[in-house]
Amino acid sequence: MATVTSNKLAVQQSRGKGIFIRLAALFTVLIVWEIAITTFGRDFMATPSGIISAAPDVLLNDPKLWPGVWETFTVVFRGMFVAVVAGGIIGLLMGRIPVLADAVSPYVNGFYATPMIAVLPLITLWLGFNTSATFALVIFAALPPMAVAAYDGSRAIGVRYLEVAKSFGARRRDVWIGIAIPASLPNLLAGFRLASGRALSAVVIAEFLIGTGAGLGIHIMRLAQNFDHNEAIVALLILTLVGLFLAVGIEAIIKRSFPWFRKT
Amino acid sequence: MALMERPTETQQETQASRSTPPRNGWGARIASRKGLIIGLAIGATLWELAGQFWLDPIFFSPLSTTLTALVGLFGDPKFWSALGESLQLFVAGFTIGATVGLITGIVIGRIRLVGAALEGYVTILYVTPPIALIPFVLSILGFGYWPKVIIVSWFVFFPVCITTIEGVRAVSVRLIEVARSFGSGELRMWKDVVIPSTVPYAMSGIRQGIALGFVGVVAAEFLLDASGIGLLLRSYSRLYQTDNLLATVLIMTALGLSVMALGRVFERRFAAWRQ
Repeated sequence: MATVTSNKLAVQQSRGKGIFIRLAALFTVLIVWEIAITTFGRDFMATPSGIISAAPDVLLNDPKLWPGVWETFTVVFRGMFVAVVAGGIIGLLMGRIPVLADAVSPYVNGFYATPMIAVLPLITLWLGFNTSATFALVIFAALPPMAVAAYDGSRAIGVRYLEVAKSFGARRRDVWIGIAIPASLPNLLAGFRLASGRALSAVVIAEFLIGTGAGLGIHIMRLAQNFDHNEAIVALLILTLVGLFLAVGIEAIIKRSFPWFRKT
Repeated sequence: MALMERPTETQQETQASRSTPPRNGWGARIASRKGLIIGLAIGATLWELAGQFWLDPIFFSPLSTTLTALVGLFGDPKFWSALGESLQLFVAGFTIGATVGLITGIVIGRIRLVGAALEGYVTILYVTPPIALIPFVLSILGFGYWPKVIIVSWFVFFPVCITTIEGVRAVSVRLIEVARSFGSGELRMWKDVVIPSTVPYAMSGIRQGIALGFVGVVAAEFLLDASGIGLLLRSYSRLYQTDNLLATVLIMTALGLSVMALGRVFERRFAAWRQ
């Protein structure tokens, strides 16, 4: 424990200098990037100055950007919703009924392990080259991690706690709020983080390969193919920000509210 | 044992088992083979019946036809050369991505200044779906072999790099101080203190990297210069050879499962002292 606290002290001490170091690093990275591209790269490649000067135009005047963002994230949201609900139910049932867990686990594992790009040709064959194929791929990508998380979460509920609660006459609602949800929530959150990352990848792959549509992914691809790399990076940064928000945000919630939980 | 200050899995396990019956993780938890066999049998029957009586053969093939196609693929030299091509791409991309990831992770984790400067950028790049970078790679480097290797190594780099950073940071300060006070040089300390306690962390990154690298191979072969398994998948779907397509997807599933199992074996073998 002593080493942990001394580590923390060191971190706190370095935090003051940290801002300067980060600013210095930011400028170094940007300058090196700018010089490297202008001397070795080609004209169309993205530079920091190019991205900054393209940003206002893309964010304010590009007629396709915000409709694309809307389309893409609507699909992600709908797909995640289905994956969370269905995956949660599947995982919970598997946690409660051992035979079911044995029977269903090869499918969950198999879907989890199959690269989503490999199933996309099948999905487009069945559903056509449209948004419902994208929707289906998002579900395919996000459901297995949610099912695994719900399974692990439901197994993390202490049987002894349940028994104590029962013998003290706790109501069903109290058991849920007091025991089941706090015990399984960290697993569910970690699963949600994983699933949302996979969902973002899935939506981009699907939009690339389906090629029609007007989502953010295909917009990035068209800009990049037209050699408008500065504009494409601006659009890509929206995707990155969402990913960052999900990953760092959920991680922070887990660390703060469930400090005992460590993902395996 | 004293290496790790954080609660390890075993500690968590024992803590949990005080209040609960032994908690099985997702990995090794098939209690009885019976349920597994029933599940597989139901799935196989549904697949066969749906293909025979319900769905159009252009869009779906029953299990029996798919298995025949699978046997046909195994007898086809074209399939084996495609598999070899994909495997070669995987090995090249994985080697580069993992090596660069390890080195970068060690530098960022060990040298505090570099860490403070660059760690944020690693996180930012990590949360960007790597697939979204393929159009950039394509328009800068065009078609060919090396763009694909770059994409695969990009997929592998981040999990390896990030877990290595974690591992290097988790090295006990006490051990480093002891080594220092006994007059150990930086290099010697690396060999005896830093690397042994980093390996278990890096191994979990390598396990993720193996799985992601496999995804990267298919993505690169599909979206860049078509080759290997990606090319097979593409041509089967364009020719509406659904039986061959389903057979190839089955092979991908089997490959994915074995790649994941391989990663777990690796992790267990090299991370034995993490427990």
